Amino acid sequence: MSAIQASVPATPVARRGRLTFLGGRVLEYLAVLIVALTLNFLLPRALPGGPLKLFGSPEALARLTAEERAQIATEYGFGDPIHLQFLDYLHSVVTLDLGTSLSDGRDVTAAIGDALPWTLLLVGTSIVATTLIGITLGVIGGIRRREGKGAFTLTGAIVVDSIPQFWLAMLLIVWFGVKWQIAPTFGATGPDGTTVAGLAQHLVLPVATLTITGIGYIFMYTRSSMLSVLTSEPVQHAHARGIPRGRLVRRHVLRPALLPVHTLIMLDIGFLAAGAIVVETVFAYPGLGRLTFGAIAARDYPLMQGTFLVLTLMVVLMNLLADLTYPLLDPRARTGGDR
Amino acid sequence: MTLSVQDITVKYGGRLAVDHIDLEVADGEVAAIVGESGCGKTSLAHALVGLLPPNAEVSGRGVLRSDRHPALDLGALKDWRGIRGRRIGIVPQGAMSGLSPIHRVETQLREMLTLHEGSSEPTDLLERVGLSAGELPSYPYQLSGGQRQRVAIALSLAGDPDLLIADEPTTGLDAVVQGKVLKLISSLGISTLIVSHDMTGLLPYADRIAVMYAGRLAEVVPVTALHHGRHHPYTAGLLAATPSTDRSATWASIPGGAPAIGELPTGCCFAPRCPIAAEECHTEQPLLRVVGESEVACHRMDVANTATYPAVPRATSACGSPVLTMTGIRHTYRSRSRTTIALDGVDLEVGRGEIIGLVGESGSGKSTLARIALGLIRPTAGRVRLGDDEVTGARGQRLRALQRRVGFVHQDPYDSLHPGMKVWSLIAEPLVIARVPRGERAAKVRAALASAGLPDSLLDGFPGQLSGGQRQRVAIARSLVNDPELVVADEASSMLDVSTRGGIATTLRSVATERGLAVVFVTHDMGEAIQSCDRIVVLRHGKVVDAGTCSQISSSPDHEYTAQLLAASHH
Repeated sequence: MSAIQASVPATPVARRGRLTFLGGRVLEYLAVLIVALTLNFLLPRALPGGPLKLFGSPEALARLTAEERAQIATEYGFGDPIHLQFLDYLHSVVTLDLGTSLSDGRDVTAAIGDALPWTLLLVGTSIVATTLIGITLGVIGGIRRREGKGAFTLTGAIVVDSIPQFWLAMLLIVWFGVKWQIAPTFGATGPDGTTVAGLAQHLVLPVATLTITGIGYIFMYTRSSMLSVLTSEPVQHAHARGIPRGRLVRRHVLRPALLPVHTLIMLDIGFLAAGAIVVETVFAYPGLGRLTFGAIAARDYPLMQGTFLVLTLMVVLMNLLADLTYPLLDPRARTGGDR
Repeated sequence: MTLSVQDITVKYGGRLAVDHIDLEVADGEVAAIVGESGCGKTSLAHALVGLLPPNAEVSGRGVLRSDRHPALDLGALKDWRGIRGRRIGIVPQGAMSGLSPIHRVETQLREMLTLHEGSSEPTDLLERVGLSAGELPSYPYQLSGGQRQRVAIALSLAGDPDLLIADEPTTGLDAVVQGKVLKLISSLGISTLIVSHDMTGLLPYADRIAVMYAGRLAEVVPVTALHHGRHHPYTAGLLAATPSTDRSATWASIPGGAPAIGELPTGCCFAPRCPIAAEECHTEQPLLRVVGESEVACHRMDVANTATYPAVPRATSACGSPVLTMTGIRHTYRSRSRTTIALDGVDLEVGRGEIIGLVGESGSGKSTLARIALGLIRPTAGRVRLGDDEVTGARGQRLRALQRRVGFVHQDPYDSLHPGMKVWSLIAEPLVIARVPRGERAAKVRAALASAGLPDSLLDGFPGQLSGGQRQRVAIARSLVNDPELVVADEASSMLDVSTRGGIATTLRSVATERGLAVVFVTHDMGEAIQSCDRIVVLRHGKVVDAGTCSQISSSPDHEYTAQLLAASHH
């Protein structure tokens, strides 16, 4: 026991209200957001190469004079000194006017607005599937491990977790799309427009890829969390007090064991909501991931900044949400440990 | 209700942990199994309630008889449904951290009442353990350690059991609270089996004590008979090894350590440490037989009263010039949501050759003060001087040079020694850090090892091969190797078995005298401080409430709190 912990209970402590707690958290996350925005602005500019290099064919670019280059740069705003560009960027973030794409001239906000629903559909479906399957298997795996079984499931999970997404995606395309031709492999809608059946069919393979590659992670996390709770003192003591097994698992193990998994999943949602880059690209799914991929390939600064902004916002938002919902699950976090 | 344990044996993978134990718990009796770590007491208790790990093999019978239920053989039982919680109430070890952290007290009590078809209400249960109904909506983290222990006892009472088994019910509690919890358990009116390492703490509350050593019973004795008559040398040793708060009494230690599980010597397993062992003790295992009011397993009962153990020496010379001077120390811990005043204007002076006892319960600020003395944390206000040098403002190179003049012995000898380093490297490490030339290291290491009372032969071993007491001596040797002026020992003996604690105190005394060291001995045990220190400073809530020589503190404490501490550890 450290001196700090030891000293705490003896002296009266200041109590903080719930609102102050909430307010404090939100402020903290605002600070994180500002740092992340700065990085979002700086990182694309740190990439080798620039938008000019990809503006036209190498021959055409070589023929441009210095003035012509400067003119193009000024037109798109990246001729200004970097701090002015940054102020412009912050302004555009606040007003949600993210500029025009350098590669196809589209409005960035509109491009993101078009892609976002597709990503949410794809990622939402796979997260629900991954979570349900992963947690169920993890809980069973944890209980079985306690009985000395379950080594096979663990090996399986490690193998599944190690499968690269693009490889699995290609296998699925080869088998289900080409060989057996039972699922579409391309895009989000069929030729007959947006129908529920068409949407569902086009979701099958990308969702399967995301789910299969995502399960291992959640499974292992849940399993190890289950194991540590199963061997924890409160559970051992509950067992000693004569609480039967089924009830023990349901009431005394599940909730504490799923606490860290809850945080993990929230963070996962944040990352995935910004687009599943590999899967969307392989299946040509019109979501944020593919948009991001295209933007990076074209050094399309405004579009990159836009999609990164979505990523940042999602991650920070889900973090905040995880922080705020955690006390609902764990009474100890409700008052920050004070009485 | 009676419990009769007949011939219980527990083996872990063939290694004997509990060796043919017979024991009775009479109706309404509070019996206690007492012994040091590894003696098999917890294995025995767990064998009676089916809580042993799967690799354990149990044989023997444990028959539970009562008027309300048919007799039951716990040894042969496979299906424990309706037994634990209903016929036997269990207060598991470490109950302070064993309550469900996410359920309210009321929910937990109701769960047990429903499950075990208890007839009382949650409020009644709380009342029985001396808590008010106001604690019903609390979560465990909102309760103090003593309150949590009471809730754990209430939970074990929900099924209205015939027998209560309490495993180390006082571990981790402050001395004053320990007595209250034991008093509560003994006043419940249920037949109780307490498992504990602290024999003297139990005396006012238990009826009968079974002393276990290395998996066997050394003695079963009614508490009333413990202080007179003839006893097993180990029982006598345990009594003598418990430090008295009376400065005129002596404090002894039993040399050596208990044998490891599965490595029992032939004959009496206490013989290697016994001061009166004869030849037959090494060859023939003694059986329990009636001697006076007790049952004792010893061949040498005729000379049992001559067994004496080495006593912890007192200071022989007055202390010298001040080594550590701390004046007006204040320290505040700040965290996100609270400010805790750990120390509030503390003065402390330690001279050459002097051992000063820093006594306080958890939260008193004693560890913080020790850390400040070590230069590990900077006090919020106040001055620290080491000899003639100012520590307070020192930074970087100068601070490190000052820190090298202070040795440190950590509370936990199991965590503080790297298991992958040999004893030699462990002790030499401070020299390496201080860039002492390679050629000079060997002599210093050997000298430190000898001062700490260990033979050279251990230098090539790993800490894993050493007993707790030996490990702590290695830690002492490490703190001495750089010839410090001051050694800070933070609860240096609290993790060790009672029988070896006095040995550590003896070692500290001899290094203080021989090397002219100033020692700050941090402890929560008043008796230990009175027996092994020269002066005592009592801390409470970051303030010095009492200070003086050991005799002063022991015979005429200035402060009411000191008197309370004395009473709590009065044996």
